[in-house]
Amino acid sequence: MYEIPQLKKKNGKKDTEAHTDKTDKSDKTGKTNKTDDKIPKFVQDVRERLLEVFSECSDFVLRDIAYGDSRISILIGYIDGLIDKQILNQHTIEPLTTAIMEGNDFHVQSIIGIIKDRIVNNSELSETDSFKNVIQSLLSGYAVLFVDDESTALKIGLKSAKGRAVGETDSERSLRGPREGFVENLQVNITLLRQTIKNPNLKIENMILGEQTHTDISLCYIKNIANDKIVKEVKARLAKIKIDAIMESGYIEQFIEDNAIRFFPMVGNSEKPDKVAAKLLEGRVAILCDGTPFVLTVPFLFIENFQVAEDYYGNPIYSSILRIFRLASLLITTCLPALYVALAAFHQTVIPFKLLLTMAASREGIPFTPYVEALLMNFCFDLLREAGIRMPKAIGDAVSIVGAIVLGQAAVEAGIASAPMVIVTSLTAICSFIVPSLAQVSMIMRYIFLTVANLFGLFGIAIVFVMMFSYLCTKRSFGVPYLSPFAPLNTQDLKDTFIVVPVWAMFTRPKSLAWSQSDIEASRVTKRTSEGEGNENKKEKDRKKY
Amino acid sequence: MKIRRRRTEKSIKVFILLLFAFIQLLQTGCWNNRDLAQLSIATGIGIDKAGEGRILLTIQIVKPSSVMKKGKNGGSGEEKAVSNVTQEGDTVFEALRDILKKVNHKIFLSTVQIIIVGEDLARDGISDILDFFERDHEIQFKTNIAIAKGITAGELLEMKSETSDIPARYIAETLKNGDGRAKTIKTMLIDLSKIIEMSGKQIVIGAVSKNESKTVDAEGVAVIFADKLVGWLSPEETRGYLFAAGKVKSTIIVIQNPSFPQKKVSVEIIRSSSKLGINWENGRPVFTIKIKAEGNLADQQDGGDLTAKEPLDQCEQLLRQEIMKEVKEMLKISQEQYESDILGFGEIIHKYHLKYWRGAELNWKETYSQTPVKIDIEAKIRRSGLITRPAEPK
Repeated sequence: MYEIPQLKKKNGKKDTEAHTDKTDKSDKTGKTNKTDDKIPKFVQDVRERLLEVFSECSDFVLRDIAYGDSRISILIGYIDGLIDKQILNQHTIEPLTTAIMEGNDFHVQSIIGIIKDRIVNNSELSETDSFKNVIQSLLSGYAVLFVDDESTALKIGLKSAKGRAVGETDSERSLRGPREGFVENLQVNITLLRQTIKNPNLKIENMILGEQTHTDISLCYIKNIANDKIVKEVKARLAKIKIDAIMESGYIEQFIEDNAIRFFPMVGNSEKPDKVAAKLLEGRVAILCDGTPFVLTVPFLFIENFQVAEDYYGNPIYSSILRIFRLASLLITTCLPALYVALAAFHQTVIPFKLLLTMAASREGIPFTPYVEALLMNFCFDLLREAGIRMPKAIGDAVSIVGAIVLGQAAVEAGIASAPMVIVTSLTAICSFIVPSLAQVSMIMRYIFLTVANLFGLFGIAIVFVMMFSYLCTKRSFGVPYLSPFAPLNTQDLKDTFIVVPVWAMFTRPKSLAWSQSDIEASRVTKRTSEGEGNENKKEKDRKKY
Repeated sequence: MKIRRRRTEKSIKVFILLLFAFIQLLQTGCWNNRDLAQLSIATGIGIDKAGEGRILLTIQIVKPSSVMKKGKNGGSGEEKAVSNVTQEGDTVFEALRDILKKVNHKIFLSTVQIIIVGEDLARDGISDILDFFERDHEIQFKTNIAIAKGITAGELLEMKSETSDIPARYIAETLKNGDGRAKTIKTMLIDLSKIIEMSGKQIVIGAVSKNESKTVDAEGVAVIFADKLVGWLSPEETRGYLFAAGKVKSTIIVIQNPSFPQKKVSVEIIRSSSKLGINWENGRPVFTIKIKAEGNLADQQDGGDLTAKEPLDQCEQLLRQEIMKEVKEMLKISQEQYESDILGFGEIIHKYHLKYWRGAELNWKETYSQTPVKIDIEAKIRRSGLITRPAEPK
């Protein structure tokens, strides 16, 4: 840019904004050393280097101003859209341009120092002398201020929280409990966690991943509750990630998972702050990733698939029954079609007489074997589901209606599928929605079970079942056995598995995850709590235990 | 890194395993795999004598679709729900295989509700035909077995009922219904094969006959000695047998009204138990039967309040006498006429007095028929339903 009379800038801010397309390389003082990470001393050189880095970036803005009534030139750079321009205008540019210089100042402090201490009104201010850091800061929502003849630059944090407002989640709905869900903005997500856990022990460590995207990642855990070894392991695994881009936390998930090939989920994800907070309080580690509302939690155990936040908010008896239903639904959705095929093709002996008559009557005239029939119906259903998810909402409804009619009634009437098979398929489908985190694996298992059922009957189903469980027994998630607390058995932790004990009875932290005693636990061991103190303590911990 | 690699290897192994599972898809699977629709579902088996050493096998095959259709339309269909196929043969299994020349699907035997043995065949001995049913894996041990009385098994399976489409099931259910009457007995295949091997106990098998109104009569039992039919017990004797064996679940016993001898009172037995034992007198056994029965006053013809102490005592006395009469009749016929130890006193001696049994086993038939029996019956009437005395017309 050209040397613009600095007085002019006081009035018209807009016309003085430097645009990169006007860049020319005709500037004279091109003495900058490009390999040097130092910030060039003169504003002109800074401008040149910045424009070089951000060439052809139309959203990069440079702004020249003069410092108050002096002629010291100041350069402010920022990326349009990433920062809050109003705050920049009101609290940085305005005070700078209207500042009145006092002669003494220069002798006491550097100009940057004065600006930082007295002129700019912003909560997030820091100095840096690294050019790389400057670039990084610019890209993550800072405005950077350079002063002529100074070797440091001032970073002004003006990150604007643009994006979706915090609202209800679609993937995890609950009747009772907090409605809000995470959003795409990392800072907001961290805030949501902080609001739930008001405790300095909630540690949040930042990392940047992705060679190209420089995505912000935050690692959250509660010191003194989370097992240090697990935290260390998570950090080590995160540090090993070498990838161009992180588009979603799913990328990280695949890198830090214990298995090369993903089959059962070994890393949990959630959109709900209350759920993640509860997991943190159990001693888990959360990984937040900028740009996605899905927060990862590790270690992730098999039983967590069946745990729902509402289990702890509602009636424990009801929750326990539902817990068992959920476990049963997994069995149904993986095994029911296979069982039907095994019974219809091999073990007619075990079917009660009347049911056998019904089944035989409905199978009469069906051109396919039970296996092909089951395969066909399940395949249709899986297609329908995929269509339903990908379609725009309005069309999705139409698809489900057509699917229901075609799959159900028409297939039976046309004699392509038998009525029991339709019932089996629909029950399977309904159950597959009950445990969403296992929906994918249960779909794969369903086809495997179907196939072995057709080949070997119940014997085959039993064999695959044994294989599946022995596979699960060998798995660990961040050092914690996947099937714990069942295998290895931990009787204390069974309090939150098939049954859900009332929250007041959950006074121990999960042994397999957290290694430190909770205060309540400790007080029970030493038996020193007085009545009132104990209650207070308990209440607080109960809240934590979720 | 090493650990990581090992894990990867493991997952690859699992992956290969799964791959194999999927490769199976391409192969044809037919080992013992038969479609439900490709089966002839058998509901009943009837076996009759056909000439010397030959049997006539009747298989009742059900047509599922017509059964279901009838169910929907209220049973007005013209189509028959079952078809009976007969085949002669030397053995059961031979006849069963030869039936395949007459039906299009393989015969499925797990659904057999009842096996009916014809009277003539039963008199010759049932152990020859029993072997196949014990040996075959499809026949269930719980299958009922019955003896046709005065009719062939084949004819019995043709009996059509207004209430049930499947004759075999109709007969099996009628037999089961005997629980409420205690006048017949439900014998399962497994009981038969167990008891037939005992020398100290003989079996009784429920008898099924045809009555004039063309329904079946599931009443009375057939008395078997060794494996041969030796005779029948009347319905009352059957009840006596069940009382002595402690198998009465419920029954109605009609006694005289103690206040008005020409009127009747019926007592519903709700609970009964018995204890069989052996007493020794001069080195010879005496059988003892202790029966406890409890009942409710269920039906009373006239005659005032029977719940007062005196008439109630009389009622209990009459009840006791009635049970005693039936038990005695049963014992008389089993000891004198059939010489068949159907209550299993021999087994009790076998169990608790082995020394004596070793000497007595060979001629147990004679010993049994000459041994005196002591019967002790305790009968109680507990309640009288919703009212205490009948309404008196005035």
